[in-house]
Amino acid sequence: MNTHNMEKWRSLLHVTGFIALFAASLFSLTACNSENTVNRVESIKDLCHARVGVQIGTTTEIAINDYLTQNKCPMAERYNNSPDAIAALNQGKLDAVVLDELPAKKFVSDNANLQILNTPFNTESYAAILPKGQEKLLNEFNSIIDEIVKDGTYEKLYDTYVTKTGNYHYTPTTTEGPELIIATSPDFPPYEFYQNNEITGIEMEMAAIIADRLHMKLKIESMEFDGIINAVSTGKVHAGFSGFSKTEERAKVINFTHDICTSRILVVIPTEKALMSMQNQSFKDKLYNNFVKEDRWKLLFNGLCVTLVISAFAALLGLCGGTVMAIIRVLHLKTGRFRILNLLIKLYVNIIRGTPVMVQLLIIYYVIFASVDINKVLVAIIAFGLNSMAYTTEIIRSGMLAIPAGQFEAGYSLGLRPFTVMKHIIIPQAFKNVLPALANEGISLIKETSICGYIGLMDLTRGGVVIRNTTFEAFLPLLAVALIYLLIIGTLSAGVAHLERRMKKNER
Amino acid sequence: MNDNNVVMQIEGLCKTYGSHEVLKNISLTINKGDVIAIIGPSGCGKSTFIRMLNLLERPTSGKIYFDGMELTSLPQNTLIDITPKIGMVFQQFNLFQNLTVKQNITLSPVLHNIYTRKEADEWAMQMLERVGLAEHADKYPSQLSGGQQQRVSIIRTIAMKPSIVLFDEPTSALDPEMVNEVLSMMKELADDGMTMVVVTHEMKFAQKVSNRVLFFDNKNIQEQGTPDDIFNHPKDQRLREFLNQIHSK
Repeated sequence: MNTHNMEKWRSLLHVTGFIALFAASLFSLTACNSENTVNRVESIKDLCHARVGVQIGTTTEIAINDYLTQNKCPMAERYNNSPDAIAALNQGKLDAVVLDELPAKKFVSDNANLQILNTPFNTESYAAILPKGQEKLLNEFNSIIDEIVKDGTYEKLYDTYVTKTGNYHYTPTTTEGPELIIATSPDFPPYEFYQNNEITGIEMEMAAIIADRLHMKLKIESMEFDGIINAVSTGKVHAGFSGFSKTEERAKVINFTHDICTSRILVVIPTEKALMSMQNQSFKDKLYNNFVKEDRWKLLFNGLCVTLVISAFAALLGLCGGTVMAIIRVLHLKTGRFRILNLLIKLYVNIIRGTPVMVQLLIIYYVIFASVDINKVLVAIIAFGLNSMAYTTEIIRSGMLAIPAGQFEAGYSLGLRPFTVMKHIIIPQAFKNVLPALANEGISLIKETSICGYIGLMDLTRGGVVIRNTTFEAFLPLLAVALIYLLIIGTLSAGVAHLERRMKKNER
Repeated sequence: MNDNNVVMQIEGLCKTYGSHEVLKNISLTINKGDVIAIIGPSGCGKSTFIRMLNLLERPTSGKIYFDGMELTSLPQNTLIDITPKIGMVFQQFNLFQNLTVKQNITLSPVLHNIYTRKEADEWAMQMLERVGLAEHADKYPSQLSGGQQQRVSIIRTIAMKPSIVLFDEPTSALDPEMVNEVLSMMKELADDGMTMVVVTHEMKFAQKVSNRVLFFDNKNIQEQGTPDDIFNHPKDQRLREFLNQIHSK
């Protein structure tokens, strides 16, 4: 076979390879779709044959996987957070999601396509804990707890803290007398948590009622969850209220009161109607659902405005500040003046370049403006402006240094002061040279503003994420966000290219 | 110094870079109307010397008297008002690349209130006309040939009405056919009575136009005299070798 034929074969092989690759990716795409065969979950038993989702690192995860492994079924799929798992459920990637009672109810009430399976998967009880050998106090606790549950007070607390339909707060009447000291870890809403710098919650209200009935003043000690059992068992405090589940291990060192409340683990499944339509929801329906329904496009539009405002003003701030700082640095190099300023600028540039912009944004918002009530858009403009300034300084400085020394010398010999030389000669030339680099910095800046969501700003990216969390669909909102960024940056690039061509015309 | 005829007086000028000594103890008096040509082998410090005369290069020691002032003792702020009186033409022209020919000429005179904008424009056009460059007034330097650029840069320098003009190898960067247009403009300037110091490799120019020639070598002025002395009756051995090398080219 001669070399010519060999070449032919080789190129043919290349083409076939590409076609094969293309076909394979197409096939895998369709395979993904065909994976959406639905397994109906009608009872707890069906979980074994279904694709189950759960949030990673929760007691729910332990419970469902215990159940599944005991029944020799595959383990549940783990998701970083519950909204992601619910999104997967909505897209037909899962048949059921297992999660705590309260969040489950919230998701179902927000989403007409979801329902809760009639029977709960599992039930957990919480109780208070007392030291061993305090049987008299334990009995008093128990009778008061039974009373609270029976006379409807618990119901009122539940309405106040969980469904937010009530507004019941217990006011103690005992102002004198001995203290009832209880320990809690106030990080478990709605049972115990901080609100307005005070510890509150269902269990805390119940503790207050118990103390009052015992004619004692309640004193709450906040401590780490791990330390509470130890504090109770050694008698440092009278009781512990911190959502304790009853386990045999714990019962060996402390006594449990009667149940204060119960929490259920629920199974969320799609409604039948949703299952029917999931198979044949058209692209048009999806477009409607993601952008038109409830005017969701406004989230993107308003977000775009925020992104544009922040980017534009931050770029302006960066450009002005960067130019001034670059001038000072170059003047220092040429004349030896501004020694201190030059050092400060060097330090500033190194600090900004050496830390992530996200950390800078958070520091400016949470530390520098911590005690000041300031518009968040302004915070973002300042943060991104200061960040961009450091990079712009270096860009413009490099542009100035690239200009031949002869230009400075000619200015000097004509009696022009250093600032005049900068203004009339150096800066105009430097800007032309660094225009592509400046455009690059501007493009980075626009994309960097997508982290604004971290200080609670609704920018373009955040708008897309909010839509995704509402419709539980990732593809369309994120694609739309990406396209909008592409459009802004494409326009900017075209503008800069036009400007470059126009400046080129001035000279050969 | 009382002599009104003296434009610039240089006393004991030295320049060292670190431990490397470039020029040692040079003294020179420049009189009004002098056209001084500085010749010498490359690396002998000619350029360094001429760049020290407007303090573009700081002398290590020595004094420069000009216009009743001692330049090396002046602060930077005062000095910048004096440098335009000591005009300088560079080897690489150093025209401002972002300005047109006319803007290059008029920028500094207008900023220094030597001319109003209108006067400056008129003067610039008149000068460009004289050297046949009027049609290029609105072009940018990069659109001009080297010879044209150097002639513009000479106009830019004399627009500041200097008492002396320093030329630092003004024709060295030019293609051979453009050397003459620059030299003839410099001759015209000399004929008008301008005081000039010219570092050059153009021996014919030194011979015909200058009234004094300095031969730099061995960190100092090795020999000086009229063009006739230097070119026809050289005394110094090194000067003779230098001239021989040039003529044998």
